[in-house]
Parts: sequence; structure tokens; C-alpha cells
Amino acid sequence: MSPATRTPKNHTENTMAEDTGDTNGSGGVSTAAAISLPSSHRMTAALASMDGETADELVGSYVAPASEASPSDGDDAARHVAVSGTGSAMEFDAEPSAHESAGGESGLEEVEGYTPAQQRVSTENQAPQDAFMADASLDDKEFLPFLAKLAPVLLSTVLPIVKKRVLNRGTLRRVSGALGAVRGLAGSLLSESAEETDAEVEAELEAAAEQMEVIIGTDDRTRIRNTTAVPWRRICQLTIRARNGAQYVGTGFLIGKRTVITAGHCVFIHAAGGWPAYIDVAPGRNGASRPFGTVRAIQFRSVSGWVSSKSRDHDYGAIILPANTPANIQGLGGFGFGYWPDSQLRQRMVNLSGYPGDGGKMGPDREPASQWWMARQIKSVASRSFAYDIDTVGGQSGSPVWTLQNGQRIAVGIHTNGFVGGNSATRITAPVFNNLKMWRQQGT
Amino acid sequence: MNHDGAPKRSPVGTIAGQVLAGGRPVPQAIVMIIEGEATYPDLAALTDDDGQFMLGAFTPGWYRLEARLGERVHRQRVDVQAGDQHRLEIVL
Repeated sequence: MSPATRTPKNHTENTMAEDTGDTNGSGGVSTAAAISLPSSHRMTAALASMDGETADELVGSYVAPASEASPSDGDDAARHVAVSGTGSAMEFDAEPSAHESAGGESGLEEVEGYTPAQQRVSTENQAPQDAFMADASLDDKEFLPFLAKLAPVLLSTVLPIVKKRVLNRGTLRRVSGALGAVRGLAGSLLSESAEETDAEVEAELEAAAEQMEVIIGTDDRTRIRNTTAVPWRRICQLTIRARNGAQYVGTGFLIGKRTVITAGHCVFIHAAGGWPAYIDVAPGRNGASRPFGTVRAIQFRSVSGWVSSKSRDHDYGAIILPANTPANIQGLGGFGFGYWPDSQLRQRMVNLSGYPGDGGKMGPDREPASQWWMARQIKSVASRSFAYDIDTVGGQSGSPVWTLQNGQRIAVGIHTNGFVGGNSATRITAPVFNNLKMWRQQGT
Repeated sequence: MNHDGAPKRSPVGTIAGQVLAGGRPVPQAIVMIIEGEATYPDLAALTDDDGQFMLGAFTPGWYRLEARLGERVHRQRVDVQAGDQHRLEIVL
């Protein structure tokens, strides 16, 4: 039976740190009023009434001094903080080792039921092994006539996507023959299909897309069975209750005793009243089992670049667990976090684990609220985000994207977005790094 | 540039709706986007007691939505245009 949810009685105090990047200079809410803090920080705060809520709902902007938001060492220097058990109990005793593969890739977690040979990262030394059609449950005789009927539409819509995905996975050579066959059939059947109505085409296209997903979308996620082990227990399932009553599920990860990092859109949902009413945080949740219980949090943090500007590049935030959070959760330890220059981050092997809303990969391991892991190389790096071909679905927002560095788990990004061309994370850069440090301090 | 060439498209459309089974609202069903032409938040919605959900705002493009309760699954494509307010009725 799951332990009872604990609700703190304190008021909500949600703050924005300044991280507007180069696109927005606003540091807080429009009705903000400056107050003094005993620390070196300047806090602009407003007793903003959100949707008529009570006046003790403090919404404010926590503006870090310029020296903190823009450290002198800049983005060119690699920097990271290693976090252990945050206290006397060190939690790295079950530290798995990093794989150092033949391709020289490091940073890959060791996961039960998974071997590095299963990974499909394209390298010069690795021949393509995983063909586009290899995992198809349909044979050619069934598949091609089905496609042929839809060929005109497929050629104009689905196939470019297929091609893009295949290209992304580096398996073009193995599918070029199949695509050629489809094109041939399309030419011969074009006139027949022209008589179909738009609705029929749409319905069939949708059905085709279902099949295509089965064929193309090899699901490489691996379920984490022992979520009480490091690092999985530091990854939390989030159940978010928005102010308008809507509910959402997401993921977060501990970086300190009471600090959970997540996506900005998990702690400030623009379309659902902004700051949530509360978030239930369940570290290491494993389906129906909540091995460490659940804590109800009402203190949240994000940055003005997300709250005010809704910029994808600033989509990150934090949950500060209440002071009465049980000791067993405060002692779980946390991920380290750090940032690297582009040259070191690009093509780095990263891990991602979280709570997909679909309950995971189709098969016996699928279960609601179960944790799933996958690792791949980073495929592209932008100034404030990076992308990868790690399979994710809704519910995994806020998942840690981390690498192993000298045996330490260092988060380098916060998963936020899906996209057919590559899922992506908010990149931990120097300003993000400093805000995470500040929020970790606030959760001690 | 954002990341990986994802199309940058402005104004947004919204996706919301209700999940039903046997003519009755389905609470605690999970609704999410599983694939999309444009970048989208990987947040999943849970339906409330009336089966209502709200996935929020999306940049224009096509998305594949999945609603699920246990083994009951519904998937559909949603084409979002600027200013659209999609109101879906999903039957599991």
C-alpha cells in the first residue's frame, strides 16, 4: 500500500530567477515591488492574486545578482558539481560502472536487462545492424499492398517523415529498397487512389501511420525494475494539480535534500493557471509501489525567461519539498549537474530516465507510472538546448539527462520536448547551473 | 536556431477535450502527444472526474495524440493551425 500523501501547511512561495538569455530583459512579473532580503540577492515580489486566490499566495521574481547569473568563467569552461548523499549517508555505494565501449563512448549507465550492444548509435566503427524493417511484425506481402493503396498520400506526407527518421537513425541504406518499391507501386496505383474522398484518405492515412509506427518506431526503452537503487531512486514521478483543476504527470530529479529539478512547464503551466496548486512527488515510483512515499510540494521555482516569456530555451524549474519531508527522502542523494562547451557536449553519450505516460514499451514490462531508461549520443547542440534520439513520450518532461564523468552522474540537461526530428532538453549552461545551485541551497 | 532545425512557428492552437467510454466520462485516463511535426512539451494530462483534459498550446503542425487507460488506447492525428481551439471527444 502506498504511504499517505503528506501535505505541508505553509503558504505557497513560488519564485522566478532571472534567466532571460539574450532575448528578454524583463526580470519579473509586471506588478512586482522590490523588497530587501538579508542575502546578497535582490528579490522583487508581488502579492499577486492568481485567479482570485488568497493574498498569501506569494508570486515573485527572485533575481540573482549579475555576478551569479553570469559567472566570469563563461561557457567555455567545463564545470560541474557532484552531489552525493547530502548528509552523512553516502548513497553512491551501489555505483554502477560506466561503459567504455570500443567506440570510445563513455557515460552510459549499466542497466539490468540491457547490454551496450543493443544500442544503435551510429559510429564509424559500427556497421548498421538495426534495419528499418527488422522489427516489423508484418511481412512484405501484407505491408506493401497496404502501403500501395495509400501510396499517393504516403509519398507526399508520411514518407518524408519516415525518411527523416530513418536518416536520423542512420539506417537509410537498409530501407532504400523498401522505399523504392513503395514509390513504384505508387506510380501504378495513382489513378485508383485519386477517387478516394479526403475523409477516406485521412482515415486510411491514420491507420497507415499506426502501422508505420509499429514498423519504424523501434522502442528501445528499458524498464527500471529496481527503482530503489542509485540513481533511479533520485528520479521522481510528478502528479501536478494545476490551479484550474487540470492534472498532469511529469518527471523530476533530486539534486539535493529537498530540491527537485524539472521542466519549467511542470511548475508553471501557462495554459492552466501558471504555478500549480500542488505537485505530488514520488521518488523512485515503480508502478503502484511508492517505495519512499509521496510528498506534496507547494513551493516552486522557475525563471522569467519561462514564466514571462514562455521561451523554450528557458524551460526549467524546481520544486522545493517541504521542510517536513521525511528523512528517508532527504537522504536519497542527488544528481550532480554541470555544463560543458559545445565541443565536449556534442556527441556525448547521455542517459535519460523518467516516467512515460504510456507506461513504457509495449510488452509485459508496460505498467502505468513505471520508470524507463534509454541512452544515446547527443545528436545536435544549440546554445540553450540539445537534441537526441532517445525515445520519450508525454510524462517524461523534467527527466534528467545525464552523463557519467569519473563515476559521478552529472546532469547536463532537463528533458522538455518531443519532436519527430529529435527530442530535446534544456541545456544546463552557466546561468542554469547557477540557478540550480541557488535552488539546491534553498532546499537544504 | 532552436534545436535540430525544428520549425519555428508562431501563434498557437490549443488541444483539449473529454475522454468517454460507454457514453460516460473516464477519469484518470492519460492523454499525451506521442509524436509531432513541431516541437512540443513532453507533459501528459490526466483526465478529471468529468473525463476532461487540457493539453495546452501547440505551435501549428500535425501531432499524434494518444489517450490511454490501462490497455484501452485511442490514437489520433490532430492538425493544429494558429488560433485553433481543438475540442476532442475521445472514446476509449
